[in-house]
Amino acid sequence: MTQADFQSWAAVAKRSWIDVTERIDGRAYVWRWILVGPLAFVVSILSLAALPHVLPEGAGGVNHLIVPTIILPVTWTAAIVWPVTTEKLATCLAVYTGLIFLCLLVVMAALL
Amino acid sequence: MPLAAPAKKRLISVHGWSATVLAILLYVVMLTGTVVVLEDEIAYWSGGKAEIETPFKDGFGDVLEHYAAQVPQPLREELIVTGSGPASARLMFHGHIETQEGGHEEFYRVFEVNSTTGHLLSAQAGRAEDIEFQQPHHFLAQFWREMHVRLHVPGALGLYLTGIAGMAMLVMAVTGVLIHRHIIREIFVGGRPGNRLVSYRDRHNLVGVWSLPFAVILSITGTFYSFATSLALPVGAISAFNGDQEAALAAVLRATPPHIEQQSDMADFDQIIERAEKEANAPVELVIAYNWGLANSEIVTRHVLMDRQLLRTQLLFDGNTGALREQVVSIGDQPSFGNALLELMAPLHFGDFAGLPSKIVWVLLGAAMTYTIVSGLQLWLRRRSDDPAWQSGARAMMMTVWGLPLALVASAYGFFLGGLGNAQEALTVCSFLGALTACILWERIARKTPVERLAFRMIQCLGLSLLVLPLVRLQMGGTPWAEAAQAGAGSVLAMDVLCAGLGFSCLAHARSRQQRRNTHEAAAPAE
Repeated sequence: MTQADFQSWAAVAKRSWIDVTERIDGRAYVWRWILVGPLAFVVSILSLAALPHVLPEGAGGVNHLIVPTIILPVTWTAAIVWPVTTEKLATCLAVYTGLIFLCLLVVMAALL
Repeated sequence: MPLAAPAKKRLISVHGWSATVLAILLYVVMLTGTVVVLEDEIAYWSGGKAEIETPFKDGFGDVLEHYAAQVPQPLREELIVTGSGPASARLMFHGHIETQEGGHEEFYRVFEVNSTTGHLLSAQAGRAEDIEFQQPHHFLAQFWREMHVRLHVPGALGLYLTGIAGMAMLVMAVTGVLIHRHIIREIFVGGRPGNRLVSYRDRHNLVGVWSLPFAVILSITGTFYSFATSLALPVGAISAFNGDQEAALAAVLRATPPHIEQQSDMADFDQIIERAEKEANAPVELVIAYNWGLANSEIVTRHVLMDRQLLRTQLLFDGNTGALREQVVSIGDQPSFGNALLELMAPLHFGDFAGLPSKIVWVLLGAAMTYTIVSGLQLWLRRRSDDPAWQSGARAMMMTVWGLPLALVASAYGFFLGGLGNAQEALTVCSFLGALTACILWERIARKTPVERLAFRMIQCLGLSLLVLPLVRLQMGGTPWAEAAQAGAGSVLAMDVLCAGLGFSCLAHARSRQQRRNTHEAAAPAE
């Protein structure tokens, strides 16, 4: 790929991102509800499922199973509060979507 | 970084709406939680029995041997021994027996015995559903605890509901911190007197800020207890154990010894207890013996929490030789960060890490949290007092705030009166539901009565019923004060004094509300 191609792709990506951001900001109320409600719940539950495969087992062989359970209310609350306080809903949506895919990838890799 | 005005507005909205939507749920969980911090004391007070003594004294090993000999080997897979009264012990043998179809099923044999003489007091045998695991004379405390734990909703749904209440509390605590910029200053600012909007806000902020760390601790630990088995276990099992929940549990719990055929004599039980108490420097509270009478028997001793001790000690002994093997951890095969976190959950949630003083602090902080919920709702409704839809909300809130404690006291009356006809469980439940129904009917019948007047009457009712409750307890055969003092059961007297004190406080509160109302009416200009 030449430098010109790269710059062209970067410009397209930037334009798309601006377009998505404007669309989300145009319906901020609805998107905020989706992020605070269902997406926050999905992110916290999927992190509960994925963290046992990522965290170290520790000396007793149980840290990876117990720590995600104990921090569940904290992760869930953080996932609820962030979209309420931020104006950058597109960034929030991108992070949540990325986290969901990442968690699903980890869980699927462990199951298959 | 200060929050922008729209973000702050949204936070206030989330803070208020989450509390309003879940108001009743939060209030029930918080109020009953405050009460059941004193579960042990309530059990002794209502149960008509003096406090539990340790049964693990010299000679108790012979009592154990005597009863173990009466139980077939398959039922000696697990034996749990606890104190159940002033001089009584509960021996619960548990194992698997063969069914007619060739399978295996769990079976129990439970003895309640005099721990000194070994005389049998009562016995039960059967499957899990046939055994009365709970002590019938402690039903009142258990009834209130179940309301706190799962709102008496069966299955996992009750745990989901209380877990959501815990989550809502954490969200409210975090949004509350973000809303208030001057949180440190508000710790020292008293509420402005009167019934103005700012007075309600000041009172809510003051109590909310003081109870903030407690709200965070309680919501995290409470949500953990609600979601650990109902949500985290199934999710963890699906993701890491192919959906096998038993395998998930086996991965975190210590493995118990397998069944073998070779039999062997048990070590001297009294010597094991003596060694355990010396090693742990604390009395034994509970003993679990695995494979009693087999060559791979193990005995685990769990010890009482001592002063300045946050975590319980558990020791593992070889059941055949009596040799100390290791200190047992709750989960995993050796001490770990995860185990320490898990073991911290119980003392932080129940507040029993320093005995009665820490429990009293937990009760006071729980009461402050309950007041925060109520004052927040008052503030919310006060801001919308001109809206007719929210005016009925104010009546519903008042009925809940005073109706629930009234129904809890009514359930205590039902429990004591039920002792006359051996129908304590039925009468406790019926009295609770009856009192709730009566409150709702009262509100409906007196719907033209101003809400303040209705509240005044309900507080008076609550005060009077609390004042009379100790007398009813004594009249129905409850432990008399002199007998309780002689047996060292100070909690019986303390609970009676607490009831009377709360009763007087309610009456004084009702009186001051009435006086304020009269002053307000007198000051109002004539038509």
